[in-house]
Amino acid sequence: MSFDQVYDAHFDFVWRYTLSRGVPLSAIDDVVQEVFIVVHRKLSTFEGRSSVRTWLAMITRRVARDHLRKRGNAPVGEPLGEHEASSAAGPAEALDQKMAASLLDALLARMTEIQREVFVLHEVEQMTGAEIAEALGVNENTIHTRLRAARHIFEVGIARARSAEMRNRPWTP
Amino acid sequence: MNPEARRIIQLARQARTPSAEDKRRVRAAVAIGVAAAAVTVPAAAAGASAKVAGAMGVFTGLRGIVAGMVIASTSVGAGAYLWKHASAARGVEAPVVSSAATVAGAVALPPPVSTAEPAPAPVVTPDVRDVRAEAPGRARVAPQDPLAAELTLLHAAKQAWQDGNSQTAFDLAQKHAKLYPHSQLASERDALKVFALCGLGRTNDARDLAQALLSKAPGSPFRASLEQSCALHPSK
Repeated sequence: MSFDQVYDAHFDFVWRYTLSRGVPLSAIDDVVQEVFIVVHRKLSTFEGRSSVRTWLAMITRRVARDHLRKRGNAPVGEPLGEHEASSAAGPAEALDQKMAASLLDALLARMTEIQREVFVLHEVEQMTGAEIAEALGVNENTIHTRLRAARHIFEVGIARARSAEMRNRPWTP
Repeated sequence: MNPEARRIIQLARQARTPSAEDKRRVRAAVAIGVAAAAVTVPAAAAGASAKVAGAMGVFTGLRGIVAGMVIASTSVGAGAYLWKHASAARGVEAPVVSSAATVAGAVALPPPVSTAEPAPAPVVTPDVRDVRAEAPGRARVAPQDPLAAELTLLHAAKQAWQDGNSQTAFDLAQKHAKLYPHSQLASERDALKVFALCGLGRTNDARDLAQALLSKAPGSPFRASLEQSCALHPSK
């Protein structure tokens, strides 16, 4: 597997995961660049014992953590804040995306760190329980337990947002 | 989860998905960082460097070098921005446009993420004059590594061009062409020559070279930048 293949296939994942780790948009280029420089350096030693995404998730977590420590930023767990919606979206869809992202951030902030990690990696990034367990270095059963709790928080949060919408109409994704 | 929850996740995912421009911009910055690493590796580590470079296809690194240069060709500010992003995270200042040019070997890699990684390579800052005077095979950074020698030469050419010294840039690119006529970095070198020729006001030569380059490689990653240069853009 070449570096370009890894980059092309997984750039989006690394970018999104970096954001979900609490790295601000202003620093995203630096952190993602650093992740891929590490990938470039290490790819020849990657033996394929885990999936590429698991490996990338581990690298991304470390680079993002180091970046946040170095900058003295807020720890992971702070709401991600506003981000630009996908440039491919039309205005209406972009608005929906932005609101959905804001809601996701708000609900992620109600979760514990591991719940948030598991939720993002499974529900947003579609990683399997085994992949997540390996990336986070925890038991797979723990992953499923945390995922259930995180899903509950998320669904309850959405239901509350909907009921608030019925009363005040502040949010309509 | 219920369909509405899934829809919200899907929308949020789309909102966080980077654009093609994000992907291209970061790719160029990565390539510069990788190329810089290739020329800062000390001789003792040259073997390991070459192994990694071979496995990854270090030629993408040169593509990045030229990509950074290309951006600067249309906007000095943008070029500086790209360079900054390639190096600032590693505690290195963006290159200053001055006569005291140094090659991009002044860039050092970040400390390794894992403790299993080797210590960062020492910073090496050869002068352009040294690069010009030495045969690439004798380049001080990696004497046994021809790829590093090529990178050093082209990096020096790119730095000269960035410093506004188009003649030196062109001469170094020509030197590369003479020493490595069959180099796999030929398209990167030729793109550099086009920009240097533009800097020298040799528009016709630049156009001929750009057209030859694109006829050989219609899908060249430099197509857009060449089209924006004096070679193919009528207003420049």
